[in-house]
Amino acid sequence: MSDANREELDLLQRSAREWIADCAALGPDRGQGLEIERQWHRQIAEMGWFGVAVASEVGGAGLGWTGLGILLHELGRELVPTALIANSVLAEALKALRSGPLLSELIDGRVTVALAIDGGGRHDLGSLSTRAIRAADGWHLSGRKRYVPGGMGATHLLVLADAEGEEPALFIVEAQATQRDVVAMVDGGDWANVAFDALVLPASAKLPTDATAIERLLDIARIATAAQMLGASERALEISVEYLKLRRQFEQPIGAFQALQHRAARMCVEIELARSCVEAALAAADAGTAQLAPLASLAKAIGGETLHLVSNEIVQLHGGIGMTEDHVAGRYLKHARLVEARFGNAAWHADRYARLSGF
Amino acid sequence: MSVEADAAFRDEVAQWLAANLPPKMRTPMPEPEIPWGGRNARFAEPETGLWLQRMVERGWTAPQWPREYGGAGLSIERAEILKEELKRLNARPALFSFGLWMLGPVLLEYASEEQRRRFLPPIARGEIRWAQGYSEPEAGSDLASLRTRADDRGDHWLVNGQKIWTSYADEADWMFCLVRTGAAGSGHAGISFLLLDLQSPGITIRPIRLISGSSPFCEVFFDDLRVPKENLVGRLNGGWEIAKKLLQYERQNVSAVGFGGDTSTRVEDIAKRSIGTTADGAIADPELRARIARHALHDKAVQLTLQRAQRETDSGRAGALSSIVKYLAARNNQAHHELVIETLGLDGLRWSESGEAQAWLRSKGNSIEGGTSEINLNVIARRILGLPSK
Repeated sequence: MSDANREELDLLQRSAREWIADCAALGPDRGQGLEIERQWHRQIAEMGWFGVAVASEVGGAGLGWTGLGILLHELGRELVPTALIANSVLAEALKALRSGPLLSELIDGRVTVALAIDGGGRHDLGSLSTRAIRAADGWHLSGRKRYVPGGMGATHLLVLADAEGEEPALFIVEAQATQRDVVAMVDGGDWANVAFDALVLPASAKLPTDATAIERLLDIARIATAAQMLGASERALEISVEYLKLRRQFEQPIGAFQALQHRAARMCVEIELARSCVEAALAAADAGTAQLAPLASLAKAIGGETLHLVSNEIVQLHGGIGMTEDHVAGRYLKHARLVEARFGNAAWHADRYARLSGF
Repeated sequence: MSVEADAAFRDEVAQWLAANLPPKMRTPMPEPEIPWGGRNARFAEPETGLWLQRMVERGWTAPQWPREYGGAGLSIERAEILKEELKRLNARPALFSFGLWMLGPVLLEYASEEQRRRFLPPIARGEIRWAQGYSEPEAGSDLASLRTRADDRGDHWLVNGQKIWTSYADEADWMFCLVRTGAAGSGHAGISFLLLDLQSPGITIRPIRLISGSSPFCEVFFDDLRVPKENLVGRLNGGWEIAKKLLQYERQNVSAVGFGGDTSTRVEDIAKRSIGTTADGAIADPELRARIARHALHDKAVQLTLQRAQRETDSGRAGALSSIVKYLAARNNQAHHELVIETLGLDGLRWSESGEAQAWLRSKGNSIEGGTSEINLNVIARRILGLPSK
């Protein structure tokens, strides 16, 4: 990476942190719901975030997945919901087309994408229950997707389906054409169950992505999610350490007790492990390596395990107040399990890593 | 120094190496052939002795030391060039020496001119082998509470006490030693840095046998040992600062050598061989496979973190990651060996040539030596996270 790149990325990180602090910082006063999410979406679109990873030749900032990772890290710190991952994944899928109205709308943030991948509660690419059948007027899509993050606020869904019983395929679907229902999840965020009943799609709705390309797109989504998780872990530890320094019992800050110091130190160690994995995976995605899959599984698994630990600890280390709805500790915990399960949890990725490594 | 002059230097080095680097010195170095030097040095492989002699003549065992101390007086840039040319040919280090890595730099900084002229050249020539006398039975993690006394007897120090965990003391010629010259209980403010000749009367050395078998560690007993006054380095009661500096040099130099455990044999390969695989090549025991997979992920994460820490050291940024890295290296190595033993079952618990049992037992020391994991966690908590001491 060049020095110029390093400077640009540092600037990106600082400006992201500033905007989030001004407009989206986590706290009891922060709004919730589709309205404010649309507002944040417009603001980050104006700042050009949706074009960060996209090559400059097609109108993006060309800072690569590393640049996107920085933004997601900052957003992850404050648990800011975003379509940044979904939009970037679709933009990457359309890259081969080099231009087209949808691509420029993605970069401008004029469309909001949600990734509709799984038909149930666990990540399972084995037998896709959503099927697309070729028809005279294009495709007929039937099936359902559950727990689609950002599904209600999305303008477009990127749907993983079985095309004609052969290979998996990706379809772009206008969200309002589908049957969407709100599903109330622990974090109070935007989640939708989506159903398709012989939905008619034009031929162009099917993306020119084969199984290998789809796996790579999912891997990018996994790495991007790991970057968010790393940010959340980092901030949750910071909040915990601040509390350990402030809270006094037995005439001293509780952070002076060695047992708590060691717990905090262990979290610090796990976060550095996760950081190494996320950085290596982002760099590999930028380098266009064919070996992205093991690093993607590494980043998602280690990122998930780390957030799992830190999200439990932030509640415990805060004692009683950590259990109150008012306090942010519980938000990190709820968010953690939701995001750990997305695109495959640690166990799923450990198994995949083993298979890719030959055992 | 110009770019052209440096390029000429590189050519000179390359030519000299082509003529003088013995062929066997380009091959991987097995442990018995490590060139520690010293009065009792015996070279199992004659080319090792020849290589050492040739590098000594050029002053290249200590390239950056001034010539009058046995070095070659090279600039940092030229020392780097020499290092690169040696690496290009996979040349073995000519000399392994605590004197080179740790004591030498500290003598250059704190010793008198006479001490430098007396002690540095034999280090650079590989003639004197040094041991490090720090820990004591009552002073491990709390090193500053050490009790070995050096009492002022006019023309000499009278030393009484004991050191423990002294690597290779039974093979070394001299020892640099931390002693208490202040009052009892004076902590780090009463410690001095003393150089001892291990051939002096009053010194008893006993090797320590570990649960894993023999080890380089020793106990060293001082019983009315007389040490000449001029063997004190630096300020009286100023030894703690020297000790800390020396540990810094140890960290910088020893990491380049690496004494870490050998985890190049992968647990998954051992498991596939000894337990077998399913039709699609997966380890036949699914529960063990899952744990081996988890370990493989952690191991990779640790390797990536070591690389990241090395890049930071190379770029001169303070070793903020160093306590984290030490903690991780110990944990990872121990986890590796536990999985190996579990996979092999009782086959792994025989004393054997392949040494799995030895390696597993020895790995238990990783979280204790060179700073315990608990101390490392303390350092992480206080220095990185800023948590308060009481």
